[in-house]
Amino acid sequence: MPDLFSIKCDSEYIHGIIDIPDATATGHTGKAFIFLHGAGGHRTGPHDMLSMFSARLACAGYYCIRFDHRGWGYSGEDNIYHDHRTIIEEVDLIREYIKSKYGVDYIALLGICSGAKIALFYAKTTVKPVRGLVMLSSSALRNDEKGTEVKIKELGMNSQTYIAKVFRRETWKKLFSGEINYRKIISTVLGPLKSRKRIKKTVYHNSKQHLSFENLKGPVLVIQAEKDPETLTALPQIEKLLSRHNVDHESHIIKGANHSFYSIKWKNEVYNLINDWIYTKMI
Amino acid sequence: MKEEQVLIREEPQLFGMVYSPEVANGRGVLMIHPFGEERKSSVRILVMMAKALCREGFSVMLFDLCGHGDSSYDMEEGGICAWMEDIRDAAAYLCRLSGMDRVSLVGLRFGSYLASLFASQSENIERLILLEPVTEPTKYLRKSLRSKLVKELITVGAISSNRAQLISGLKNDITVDFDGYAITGNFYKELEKYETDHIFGDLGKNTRPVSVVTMTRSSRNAIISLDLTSRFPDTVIGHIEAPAFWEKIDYTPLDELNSLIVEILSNA
Repeated sequence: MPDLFSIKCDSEYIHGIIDIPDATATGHTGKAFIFLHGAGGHRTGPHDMLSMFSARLACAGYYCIRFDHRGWGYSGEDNIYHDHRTIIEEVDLIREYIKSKYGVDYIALLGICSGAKIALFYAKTTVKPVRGLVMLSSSALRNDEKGTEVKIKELGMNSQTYIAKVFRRETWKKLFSGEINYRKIISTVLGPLKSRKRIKKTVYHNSKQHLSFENLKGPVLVIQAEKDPETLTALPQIEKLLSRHNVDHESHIIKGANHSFYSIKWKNEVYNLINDWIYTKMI
Repeated sequence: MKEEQVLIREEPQLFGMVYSPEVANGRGVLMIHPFGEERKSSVRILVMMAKALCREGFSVMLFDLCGHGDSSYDMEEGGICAWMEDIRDAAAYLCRLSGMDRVSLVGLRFGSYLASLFASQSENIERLILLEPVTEPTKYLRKSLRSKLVKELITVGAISSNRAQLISGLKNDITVDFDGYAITGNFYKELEKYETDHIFGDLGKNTRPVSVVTMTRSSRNAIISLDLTSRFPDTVIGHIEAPAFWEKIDYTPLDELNSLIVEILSNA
């Protein structure tokens, strides 16, 4: 039976689920994978792929933690600003949770799309050990110092929604009939500004370049899709970054696959690669 | 508001999310998500709708049908009969938790088809709200298969089969890979068995208010052509302009939709 957990962070909840490992699995108990979904996504992943991987990795002996990033799925609120820093905060909170509840501090990460990029950034900058990293369909890395950052939701998104409404007849009807909730509009548009101030105060784990990946204590598995337009850019970027820092890594391209591996065959191919890797590379 | 994840049932696993209001109005709402990948794109919209309802005093539950999400993930365990059980168990759980004896159902897309089917078999449904409803389920599946083939053509440059072959396969109990979900022949035959006319005909036996909210022009026309208002005098048909969010990756808040659903349920 899975463990359903909720962690409160300021005024928001992070909701997640832990697939508990099979007690009969040998050699891997006491280890965990934390899953990071992509922007616009949900903890179950495209075609519930992450749910399937989580269940299978649990059978292989891993605690598998999937959660919705705040502002997505079941977690958090819409009028609060979130970006990669809030996700990193979430990963740290979840690490504390599983350590206190299960005594597990052997942590590996599995991310998809922008979640893969954030997982890479976490592994690059964290002061806590990361025992392994699986990157699925990572999006391209930025080529500036900020490298693996990603903004999840922009302040402008809500503003654009309301600006678009100005051009609708229904909006003017509501305006003249006094139905517009001005307080709510202001809160929705400005909410992210207020919470952005709080996020800016969050200290990066480790911004010194020469200490990059210092606490990545395990290998990296990179899986990209052949027909994903991002693969051509992302894969060489990731390989170059990892090689520059002497990180043990291997890469695979799933032939014919699209970005989210939309077929049972591709989904199984991806899992088989992960399965082989955990048995041969994860200590 | 209290938000709590629950395991409605252990085997097969049925996951739910309950929103309990600070001050309850004694009424409950069970939300039924769309089929397949449309569910993933709709989760956030449904969550915010549930919260909007909860703020008005409703006890609300979202849950994952078998074969979806955090419920047992194997789609081959799903199907119409299995989903009727899921809805029954979820509704019973919500009623027990909130001390009610009936709930309203809000179904989105294929979820509205399931909601209608369930309501036609149950006497404990207070109100039925159908959002952008799927009116002809086998036609919906055929259209979805066509979209899948178009995506395959764009991605790979060729298709491995055509729609007629896929449908023929389903009729001969060959499972089809529908973008990562396994669609069985049994599921297709269930869809053929429970066609919409049959469902709406049976709805009349347990008459209750039905509201339909459409968001695209094509569904609005389809609903009007079904002539629901002549079958169910209390039917309310509403329309708001909204993007087909169930097909999109990015998320846009839909406060208008939430307000409309709250208004419909509050005035019931």
